[in-house]
Amino acid sequence: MHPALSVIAFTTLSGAGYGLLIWLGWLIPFHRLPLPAGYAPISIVLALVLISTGLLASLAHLGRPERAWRALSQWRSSWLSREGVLAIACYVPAVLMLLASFNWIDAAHLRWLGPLAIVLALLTVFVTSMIYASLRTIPAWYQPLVPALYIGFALASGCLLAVFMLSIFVPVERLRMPMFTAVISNTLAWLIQLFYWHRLDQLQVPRAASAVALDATVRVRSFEKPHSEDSFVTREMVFRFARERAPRLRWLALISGTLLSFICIVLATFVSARFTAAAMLLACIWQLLGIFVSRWLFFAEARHVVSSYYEVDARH
Amino acid sequence: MTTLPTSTAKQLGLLIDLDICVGCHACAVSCKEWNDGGQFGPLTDTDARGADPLGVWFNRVHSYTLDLDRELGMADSGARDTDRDRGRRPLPLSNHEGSVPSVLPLGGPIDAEGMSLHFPRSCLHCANAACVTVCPTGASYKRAEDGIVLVDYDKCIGCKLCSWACPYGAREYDQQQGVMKKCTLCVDRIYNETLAEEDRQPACVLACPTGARLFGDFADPDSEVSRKTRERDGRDLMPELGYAPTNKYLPPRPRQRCADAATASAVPEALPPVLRWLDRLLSR
Repeated sequence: MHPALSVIAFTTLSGAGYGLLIWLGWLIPFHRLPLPAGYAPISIVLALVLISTGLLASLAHLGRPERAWRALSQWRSSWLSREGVLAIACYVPAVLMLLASFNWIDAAHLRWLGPLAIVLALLTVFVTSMIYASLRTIPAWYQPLVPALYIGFALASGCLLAVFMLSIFVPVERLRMPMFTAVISNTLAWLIQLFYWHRLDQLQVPRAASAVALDATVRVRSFEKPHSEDSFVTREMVFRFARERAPRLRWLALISGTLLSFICIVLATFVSARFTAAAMLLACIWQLLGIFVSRWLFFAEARHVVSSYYEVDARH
Repeated sequence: MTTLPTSTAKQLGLLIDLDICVGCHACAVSCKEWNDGGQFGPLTDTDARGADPLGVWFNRVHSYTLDLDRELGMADSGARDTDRDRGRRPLPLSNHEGSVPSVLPLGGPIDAEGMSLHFPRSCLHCANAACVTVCPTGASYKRAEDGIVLVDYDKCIGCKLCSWACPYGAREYDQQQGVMKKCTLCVDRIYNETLAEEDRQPACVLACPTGARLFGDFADPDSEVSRKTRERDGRDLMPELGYAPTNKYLPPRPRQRCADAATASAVPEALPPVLRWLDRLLSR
């Protein structure tokens, strides 16, 4: 699949935003120690900015963005429509939480607004992943591991962002437990990613013979393409990705998303207090970069079955 | 509404005979011509005569070379029968020697290296059309009366998800109008009373010089398309995906080797000796 920058940005950034909202939905009303003043509103604003940037990026890839409102109508059958509905619904508890954190509405409401934000944000990420996981035409995506992957990365990036925001306000001594949580959630997310890559390498895809209604014993090779230049289908779905480059990019994603991010977290505990937040910001950036590369690979490595009609020299 | 009808009164579609298609692209060209006008036009192109042209076409004709995959033919022949959804019996192939297996499956009568196959690819108007159910706006729909899958170009937002959901690459995005386009089965021809009755067929069918394309109702068991599908083992493309396409493809017929056929007719064993002598004398 063609890795469109707008969709990669959308899933990565809004994923991080929803992840952050999920952690805030628990931290703000239920954390056992009082949170520093100013932490809640700034963090909620950050989550909303990330979510909104991601959603705007996804609108950018529409052919007719002015008709986007129509996408809210088919929630009974379409995962994409459900995603639109839930994304908007999620703004309600998020914005009310923001108002409560400013004490414009009674802060007691946070006890139900928080859990509501958690549920809606989790559902939104799940539904986003189902847009991909429901496509039988892309065997790499048509598996329950895809929702796990999306939710895993959303929680991991959201957690690290929550800790980064905390590092602006509190001394490093109080960050041990949050940092530990961020490291664990990030490790779990990347373990899901490793498992996904492992499964991807073993995937069986429909053969070219089946695509042209012949038996599997027939080897099909193309001697003349249906069109001399590219078509929409070859540009969008028959993405020519040098598979020998994949291992290197996987390592790049993994090292950036885990090792470099973890080094920055460790650094944050050693450097002088002035640089703690800067080191944590770097940890977030490395992690998001790793997720971004992994998301690029999620598209680039996913082979659409229509490729069977075009890439018929290799034994697929 | 992008939910699919549970059943459609008619199942209009195409039966494409891969045995006689010669890959001339007349279907593709006449389709482009009709649909560039018609009620659904235009089908836009960008840089049509430039260095990097890109345009919307509803028919794409591939040309392939077929060989028997010897490794697969040997190793998989036992295992494959178990996951067959329809019972396809192997066809015995006579007069064949060498390392090629003694039986070849029907639909894969590849007894010569490099047999060519011309393969027209277009929308199959699937019963289980995921391109319709993924649509977030309701622009994509399947008609309950005849099963034709259409796009309402006034509602489409151009998210392209339907093109991802189609295994057959049937939908092509119109860069200039920002909406997805697809084969209409010439719905503006087949019901068009301003056309002569014999012209109320899809443009691709009328254009085909070899008669490799037939248009008809697959829900009617007595229609020509249904009958031919039964008789000649008409097949679905990628049936393992479960899209239940309406359009069917007839596999190429088993090829006879000309040399064998000639030898067989040259020595009519059944004749009495006198007539055989006479036959030999006259065939000189």
